[in-house]
Amino acid sequence: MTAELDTRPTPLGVGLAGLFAAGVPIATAAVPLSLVPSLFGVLSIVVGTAGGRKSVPTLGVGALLIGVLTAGLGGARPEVLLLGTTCLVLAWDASLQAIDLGRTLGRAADTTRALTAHTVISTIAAAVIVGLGYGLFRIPGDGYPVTVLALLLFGALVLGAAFRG
Amino acid sequence: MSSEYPVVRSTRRWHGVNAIALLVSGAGVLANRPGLVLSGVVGVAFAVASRVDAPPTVDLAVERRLSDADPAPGTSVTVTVTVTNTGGALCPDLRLIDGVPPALTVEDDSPRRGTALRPGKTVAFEYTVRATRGVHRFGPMVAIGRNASGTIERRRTVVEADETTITCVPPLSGTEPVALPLYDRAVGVTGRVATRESGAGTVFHSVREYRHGDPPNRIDWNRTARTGELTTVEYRRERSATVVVLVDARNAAYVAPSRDDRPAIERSIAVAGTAFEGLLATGNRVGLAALSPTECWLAPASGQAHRGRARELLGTHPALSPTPPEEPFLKMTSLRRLRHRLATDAQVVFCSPLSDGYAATVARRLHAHGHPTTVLSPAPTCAGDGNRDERTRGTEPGVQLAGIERSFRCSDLRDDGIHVVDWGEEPLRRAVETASRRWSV
Repeated sequence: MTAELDTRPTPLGVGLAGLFAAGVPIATAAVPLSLVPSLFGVLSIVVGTAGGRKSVPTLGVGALLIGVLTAGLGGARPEVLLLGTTCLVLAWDASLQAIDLGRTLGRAADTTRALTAHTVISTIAAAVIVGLGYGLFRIPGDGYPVTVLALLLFGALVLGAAFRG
Repeated sequence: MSSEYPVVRSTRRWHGVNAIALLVSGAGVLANRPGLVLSGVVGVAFAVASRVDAPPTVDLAVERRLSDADPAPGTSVTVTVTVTNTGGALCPDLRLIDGVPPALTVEDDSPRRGTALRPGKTVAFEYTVRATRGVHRFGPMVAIGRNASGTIERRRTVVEADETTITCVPPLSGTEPVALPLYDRAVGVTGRVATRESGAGTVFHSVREYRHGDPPNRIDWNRTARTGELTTVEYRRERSATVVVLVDARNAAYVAPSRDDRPAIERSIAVAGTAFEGLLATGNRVGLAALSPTECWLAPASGQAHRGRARELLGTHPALSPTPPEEPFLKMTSLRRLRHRLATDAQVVFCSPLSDGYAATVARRLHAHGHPTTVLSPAPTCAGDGNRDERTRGTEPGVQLAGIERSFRCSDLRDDGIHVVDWGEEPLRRAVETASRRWSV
C-alpha cells in the first residue's frame, strides 16, 4: 500500500555537490583552457546528482580531473591545483552522499543534518590533509622537487595498502 | 533496545580515488610539475584517511507516540518517533526507516530520517498515516549508521520496548443495512422470512376448506357470505433463519488491481458487516466465520451485545488481518471444521471476491451439504481507494482476464442454483435488488 518512493536527492544535496564542483573552475580559472572540461564537469555533477544516477556525476568528476590536469600542465601554481583537487574530491563525496541518502531515504525525508554533518566532517578532514600536505611542501621554502614528491606518494600508497588489511 | 543481526559492510565509497591520484601524479612527474604530484599525494591521503576510519556504533532506543491509537477509518494519525543514541560514540551519518505497518498509507511527511546523533542525544520526527480497518502493529525500525568517511556501514533493527499498535474498528455497516433475501427454506422460531409453507403470517398464500379448530380471524367471511361455505385463508408462514456470514480470508482474497490499491478482502468485510446488520435487523440469528488459516467463529445469535461482538471481530480479528496470512491454508480441514460448526438448518452468506476456483468450490460444497448458500461477491477491480487514474483502472490485460474468469465462476454458480450477488461500483442495495430479481422466491 506504499506509494512509489522518489529516490532523487534533496535540493540541498545537489546544491552542496554543485558548490564544491564549482570550486574547481574558480580555482583553475588562471588557465582558461581548463575551464572547458571543468564547466562541463560542474554541469554533469549537478545534473547527474539531481537525477540520482551515479554514472553521470562520475563522468563529471572525470571532466573536472581533466580540467585540473589541463591547469597543471598549463603552468598553474601548486596552491591552485591543491585547491582544485580538494574541491574535486569533496564534490565527488558530496554527490555520492546525496545520491546515497536519496536512494536510502527518498526525497521526502529530512536529511539535512546527515548531509551537513557529513559535509562539515569531510571539509574539516580535507582542510587538515591539505594543510599538512602544503605545510610539508613549503618547508624548504620553494617546494620539493618532483622526485621527492613521487617518493612521498609511494609512501602514502604503501601506508594505504597497510591499512587495507 | 537494539537487536537482531547487525550487518557491517563496506560501501566502497572511496574506491578509485587512488587511481585518480596516481593519474594526476603521473602526469605531474612526466611534465615535471610539482603542483600536480602534490595534488596526487593529497588524493592518496584522502584514501588513507578513509581506511583509518573505524566502523560506526549504532546503539539506539526508539519510542513512538500516536495522536490517536483508536482512530475512526479514514482519519489521519500523527506518529511521533523519538530516537535516542544510547551508545558512547557519535553517529555521524544515521539513516532511520520506521517500520510503518504494511497496510497503512503514509499521507504526509516521511517515516524516514537522515541525521547525525551525538551520544545521549535524541532526534524526533513526525509523519501522518491514514487509518484503515484492522489492528496495525508497528514493525522494528531499520537503522543504518555510517562512519564519517562513509566507507563502512552498519545496519540493524531497533525494536521498541512497548509495542505500538493502531486499532481501527469501523462501524458494522458503512452504509444503510441491506436486507439480503434468504432462501425460503427457513425453519425455526417466528421471524420475517416468508417461507413457501402455509400457516400464520402476513403474505397471502392460499384459501382452503375450513377445518375444525381454525381461528375465526382466519375465516374468509366474505366468501362464506357469498357461498355459504366456511373457508380459511392461509398465509405464508414466516420464520426466522439461522445464517452464518462467511468471509473468504485466504491469500487469494487479498487480490487488488495494483500494489497501491486496497485488497478485495476489505470490500468483502465491509459487505459482510452490511449483510450481518441487515440480517440481524430482519429478526434472524446471525453468526460470523472466516475461511482462513486462523480460526475465526462467532456463533449465531441476536441482540445488541452480539452486534457489538461482530463489529469487534470484523474490525480486529487476526484471521481478517489487513495483510495476507503467512500460514498455509488447509482446505479440507478448514471446510470440515466449518461444516461441523454450522447448525443443520443454517444458511450461509459467503462474502468472497471469487478470485480463484476454490472459492466457488466452497460455495458449491456448502450448498450441496444442505446449507443454502448466497454468494456476495465484491469485484476486486473496484477495490481501489482513488490513488490511481479512474480511466486506467482495470484496463490491463491481466486484470481483464481475471475479471472474465470471475464472471464465468459467477455464471457457473448461478447454473448450480446458488444465489450470487456480483457487486461492482453500484450501491450494494441496487446490486442485491438486481440479483434477487433472478432468484425464484
